[in-house]
Amino acid sequence: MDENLLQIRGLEKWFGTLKVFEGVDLDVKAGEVVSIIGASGSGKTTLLRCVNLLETFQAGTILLDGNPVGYHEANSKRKRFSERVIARQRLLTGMVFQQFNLFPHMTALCNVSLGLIKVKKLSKAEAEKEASRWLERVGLSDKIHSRPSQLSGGQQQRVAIARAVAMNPKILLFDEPTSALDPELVGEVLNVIKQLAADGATMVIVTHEMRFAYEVSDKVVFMDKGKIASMGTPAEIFEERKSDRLKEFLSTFNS
Amino acid sequence: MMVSIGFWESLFAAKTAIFIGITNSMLAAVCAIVIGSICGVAMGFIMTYARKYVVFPFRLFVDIVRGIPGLVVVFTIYYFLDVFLRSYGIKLPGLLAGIIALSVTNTAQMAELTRGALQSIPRGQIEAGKAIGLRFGQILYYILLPQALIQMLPPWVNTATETVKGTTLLMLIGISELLLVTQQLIATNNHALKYYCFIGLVYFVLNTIIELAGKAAEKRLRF
Repeated sequence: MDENLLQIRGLEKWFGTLKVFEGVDLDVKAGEVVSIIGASGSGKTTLLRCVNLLETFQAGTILLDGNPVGYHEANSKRKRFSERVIARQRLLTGMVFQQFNLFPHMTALCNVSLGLIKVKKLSKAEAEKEASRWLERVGLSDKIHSRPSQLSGGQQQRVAIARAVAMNPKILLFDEPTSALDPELVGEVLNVIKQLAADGATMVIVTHEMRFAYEVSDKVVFMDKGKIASMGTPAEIFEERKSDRLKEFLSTFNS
Repeated sequence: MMVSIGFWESLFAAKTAIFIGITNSMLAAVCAIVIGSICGVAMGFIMTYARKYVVFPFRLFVDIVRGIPGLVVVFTIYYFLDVFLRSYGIKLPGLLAGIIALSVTNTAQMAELTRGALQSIPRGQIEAGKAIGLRFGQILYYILLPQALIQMLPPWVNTATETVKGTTLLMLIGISELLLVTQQLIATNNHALKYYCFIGLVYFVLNTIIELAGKAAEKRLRF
């Protein structure tokens, strides 16, 4: 039986009276790479942030590795877990942000090792060894003592990826990882992500890079107006283009 | 009786008094800066991240203190503490009242500086901290506090120099700080202008030291 690493059922999210999405169901199996595409405002980033519990959600469940995260039932009431529990649940996921969000006052090495030391409780020496191993994996062994301000956007994003994977999460979440990059820097970041995918990492990627989504994904999800409008293999989504809305959306990309 | 002696001669004769004056001024400034920084940074964090009803009293304190002249704060605290302690039969040490008053002013300033610095840190910093599993206290300590402190450094230096200058207010509650001591010396000779130039230079040198230290720290810590 294929175990779902991530299982989302009936997810519903409101910002005040504005409905962001509803009735979202999504399964991600171990080792699977799932891309989420869709127009701005379709709720794809918010969906990803819900999985990482950076956003609240009003209904539905998210199971990570079989356990509900974020909320639990107590006396038939829906309750948010305590911040301490949520902090631990976040360790199941690693997040890479559109704006990198590196800690500007720390070197690349410290950015990656901070979580290892303070959360995973590794010794400083072990953490730095592990951190430099990951920085090497993303091709930055010569930049481990650089501050973010001394790095290009692509290098910063690669540090951010190293920071996320170093925590050894079950599932990696990418929130438009190349949208803030100059075009010539996109490739180096996508290559790192592809490499991680090839090594068997489980990933959910929100992206506007259609060719990349086509190449790297096992499953592509098209979100439209707060709903999952289509879902299928890359071939089904990009070649068959089953719905009109999907055709319309994809036609805005020339590739 | 006025004795006509030269300025340098009279300055040398009064060296002990001037030393005491400088010591008291410095003591008041350093205590106020240290206490104000610690309390102010803590207050700034509370004002940025606590719930509204917790923030309210601090907001009120900061706005009131920043909205009234420093001298009024000094007098108010001096007379309030004096009356309060006297009811317990304790005589208020003037310098202590002065330090408390300057600390109160400083705390309000630093709280506002801290709040401003924290608010300018992008939300993504907190989220990145959460994403690697840090708890809020850890995010405060390892991510927000260092960034806020580095950002606050230039206005902090400014506040510190204002505090050094602000110690002159304490002469009005009878503390023998540098200005009061000098005025007392001037009353016994005819070198008023030279004395004022001299202590002007002393304040200038002290503040320049603070500014240079601040600049050096900024250079080292900038990211």
